[in-house]
Amino acid sequence: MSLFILLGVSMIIYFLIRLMPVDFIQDKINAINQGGATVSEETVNAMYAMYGLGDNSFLGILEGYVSWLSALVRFDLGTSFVYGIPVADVIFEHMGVSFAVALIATIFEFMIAIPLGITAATHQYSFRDYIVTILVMIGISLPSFFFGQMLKDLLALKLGWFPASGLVNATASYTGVELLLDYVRHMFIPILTIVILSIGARMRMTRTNMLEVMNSDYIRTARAKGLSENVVINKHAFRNTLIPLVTSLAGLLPSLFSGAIITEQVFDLPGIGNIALDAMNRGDIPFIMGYNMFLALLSVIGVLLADLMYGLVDPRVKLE
Amino acid sequence: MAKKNTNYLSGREIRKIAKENNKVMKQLEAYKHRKCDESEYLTTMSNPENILEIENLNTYFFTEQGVVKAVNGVSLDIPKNATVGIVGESGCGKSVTSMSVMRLLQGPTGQIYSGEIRFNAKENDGTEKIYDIAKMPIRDIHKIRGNQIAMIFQEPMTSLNPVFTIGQQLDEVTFINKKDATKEDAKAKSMEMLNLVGIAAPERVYAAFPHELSGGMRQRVMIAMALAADPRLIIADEPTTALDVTIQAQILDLLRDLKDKIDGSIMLITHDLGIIAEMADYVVVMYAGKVIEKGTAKEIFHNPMHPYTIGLQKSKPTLKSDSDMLFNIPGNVPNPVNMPNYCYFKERCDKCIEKCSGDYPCMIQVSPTHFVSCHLYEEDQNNG
Amino acid sequence: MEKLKNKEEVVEEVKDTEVPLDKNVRLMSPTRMVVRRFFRSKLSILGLIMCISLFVFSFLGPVFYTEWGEIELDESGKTEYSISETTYEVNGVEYTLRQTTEKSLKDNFLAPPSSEHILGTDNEGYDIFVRLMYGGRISLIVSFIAVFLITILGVLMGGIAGFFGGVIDNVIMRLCDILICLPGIPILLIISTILDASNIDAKYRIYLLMIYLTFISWPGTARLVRGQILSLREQEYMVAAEAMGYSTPRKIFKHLVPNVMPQLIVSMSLSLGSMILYEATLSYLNLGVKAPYAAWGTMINIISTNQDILQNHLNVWVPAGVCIVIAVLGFNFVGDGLRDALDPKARR
Repeated sequence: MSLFILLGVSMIIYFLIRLMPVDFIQDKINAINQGGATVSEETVNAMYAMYGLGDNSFLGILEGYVSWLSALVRFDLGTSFVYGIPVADVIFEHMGVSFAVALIATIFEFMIAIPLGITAATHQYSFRDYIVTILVMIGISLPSFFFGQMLKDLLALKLGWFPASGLVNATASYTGVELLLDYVRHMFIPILTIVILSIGARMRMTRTNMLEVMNSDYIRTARAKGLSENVVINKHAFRNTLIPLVTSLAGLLPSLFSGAIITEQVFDLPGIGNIALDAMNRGDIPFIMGYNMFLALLSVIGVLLADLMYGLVDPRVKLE
Repeated sequence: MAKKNTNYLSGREIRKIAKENNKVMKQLEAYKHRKCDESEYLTTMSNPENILEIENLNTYFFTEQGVVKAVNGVSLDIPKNATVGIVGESGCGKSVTSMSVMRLLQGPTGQIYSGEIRFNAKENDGTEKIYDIAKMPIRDIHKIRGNQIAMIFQEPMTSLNPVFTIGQQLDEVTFINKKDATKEDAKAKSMEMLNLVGIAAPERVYAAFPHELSGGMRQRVMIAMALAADPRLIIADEPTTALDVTIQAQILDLLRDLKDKIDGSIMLITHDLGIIAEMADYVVVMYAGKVIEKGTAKEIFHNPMHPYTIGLQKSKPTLKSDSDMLFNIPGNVPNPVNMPNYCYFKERCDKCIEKCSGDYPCMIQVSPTHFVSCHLYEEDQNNG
Repeated sequence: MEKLKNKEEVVEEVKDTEVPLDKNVRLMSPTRMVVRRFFRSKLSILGLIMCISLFVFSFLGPVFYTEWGEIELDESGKTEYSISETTYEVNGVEYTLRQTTEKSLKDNFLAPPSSEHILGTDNEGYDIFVRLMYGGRISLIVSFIAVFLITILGVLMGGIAGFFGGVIDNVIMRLCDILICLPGIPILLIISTILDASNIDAKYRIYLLMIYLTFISWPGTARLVRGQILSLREQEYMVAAEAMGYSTPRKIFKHLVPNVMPQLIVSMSLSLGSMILYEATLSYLNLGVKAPYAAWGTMINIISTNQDILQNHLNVWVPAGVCIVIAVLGFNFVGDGLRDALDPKARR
């Protein structure tokens, strides 16, 4: 099933690259060459061969797709024009930063959003509920680039508490713990941006689920048993609310590795998203294609994992 | 146009209702969540032979169309070791009465507005304490909920938590009531309960999840759960409605046996007169949030007095009946917003007299145990 | 005579309705109830006001405020002063020579807010206030078109899938699975490259990008409609309709439309918000509307390369951001309000 999805996604992506005129690619290569880097003839030919470009007959396209797909299976995503090394290597090199930022942000997101969402649901229409509603609205309405820039302007440029961009202080050469602290300082605002913008949706999800659960018959039973409200909420209701939350956590897997394009761009973090954006602007076609396939693969894994998690948390779902 | 004006609420009226409701709801919520000393809700029974006395209970729902008086001045007693059946058609306030006793009303819209619910609780050391449940703050409700009064719900399919095993949910009851219970104690008790309710393979059911059981099995589990804490009163809210007929009979047999075994009382809520006839010692007939007739089962079945009770009995299918048609009482239960002052049954009553347009009839005692609220019998009382 | 009789009948009727208890209850029609509930929430009213005022601002604004055009530079000129210091040493004493150079520039760029330019000018010399209006036009038009297309496509595909079932349903639902797995913005990067290659006019590329967004966004609506149809098929009244011999299209129309409509309206107003965000993000990344044309996202884009503007010329980028927030918040408030108003379980 998921293989089928992957096949479909790859077909669409392959079709997209076939839409690109070949001389345009040549133009881009020339531009990169003028920029100082050199794209070897070999790399270009390898890419042409891999995608089967040049032959626009139906058979040619089919052949190109098959050759690209077989390369893909071997995780050969081609060679990046700009970096001159295999695309897979570029991706893995820059994945670390994106992963660190996304992981920390996701942990904070769940740690903040779940308790808040639950209190909002159990104190419906109270002051707390309104606060949460407002936070939710901020989270889902603020464009990340605008909010990120505002935080950067305020916390980094005006107050000077944190560095504005990059991942390390270029002028100092830190090692060990100091280097780690420097990383933390640089990642603080990006993580803050992601957390504030993402807790909204998560809180709303928690709140809606919790409300639904709290109105169910088995919660009434739990109360009728004489359980204290705390146990009713934190054991009986929470365990049920957890089902969609855990499932959504599995769905988040791709975003852990894929990088937050906008946030990385705003804070100039050398994460994979920023690299991809840069690659697009410079016409590094093999990289963009490889990156997209990488993401598609991740989201298919995410779907699979979500199903798996669902089976784990919900006893009603049997794993086949 | 005129019709429209009377049947629709204007925006201003809605806002007014909402404002008033909010005020009252806030007060009642605050009262519910207050902290107070036990002495504030200790009281005495008017008859020590009763386990539960409900007096002039008013339970309201504050909705956006106005205040729904779901329970409107209900008084009833449940004697020790007796089964009291509460009958009435859907929406007459039976379930809300039981929810008020359990204090399970969905706040903030549903609130006990006034009245007393006196309950005779037996402490662990054997002494008896009388609580007024209506005045109890919600934080003290654990003193009676579950361990003194247990409830069996209408929907066995959805009343068990789907993510915990039957065992976990049963053990929980023991853990609440006996703080020092070990896992083995709890399991022993749970198995005992499962055996008691006639489950054939208790070990298997103990480890099962609710979705793996049939409706009848789940209801048995619910009953086992209710019994696990040895309650003095079991409220069974239409325990058999969602089950098919053969299972219904089994569950009712079970309930009847259990009453003798546990030495407690049962408050049986149903719309099925057959069940009442089979199970109950006393019967309370409710209509539109009010008790209209109450008495022993014998009195109600052999000498029904209120036209509604008579109608209810006529509408029960029997083999003896000659007619092909089932009797039905015309009309519906009135929607309990903006109730009139006169008898609520007036529109559907075939024995209307002039007086019926007057005030709501008060309770008339026709025998030491038989009460009816109907103008038809007022003269009898005056004469006698 | 007949008239009189009618009147009497009416009187009788009115009396009738007043007498029986169950009819004496004052009820509202569902539509009125929804409208009432919607307007009772302050947030929905606020959202509605926000949306309407943005519409008026963007569409009527340029009609009445004609001082500047969208791509009209303020060429009134600007004088820029730069000070250069030169330090040199004469006989052990340090001298500093300060030189002021006056430079006359053609365009009046980065002007502070004034009566002439309500929000000042940007780094090129365009009037920010006017560009906000034109940017709003693009954002709103593009989002509306996208949401409209998503809804049509979604209803069509979902309807077909749900109604015919079997193989057709399977194919459409698998297509949905595939589209949902497509990465959003990264694929837009490819498409943008393709558009670059095909030399599409800067004015139209955003429309093409939004059409792509439509293409990947319809599965949500389709699933909603399909789910509704499937659950409707289980309902007794659909069986009843079949028993009464209603034709298939009639069944759909009679029962499906009123059942799906509320959810569709809610999802439409919520996706309007997200489409505006998408458009702004694309423009910010310089993939969507490109200079010299205005879009809210494009107007913020400048600060990613120019830190001076980010720090010192808030009037250049903050208003555009505020506009985006107002638009998205507005549509979200309206959508949330509608959902609460349409939800029969939500009572307050």
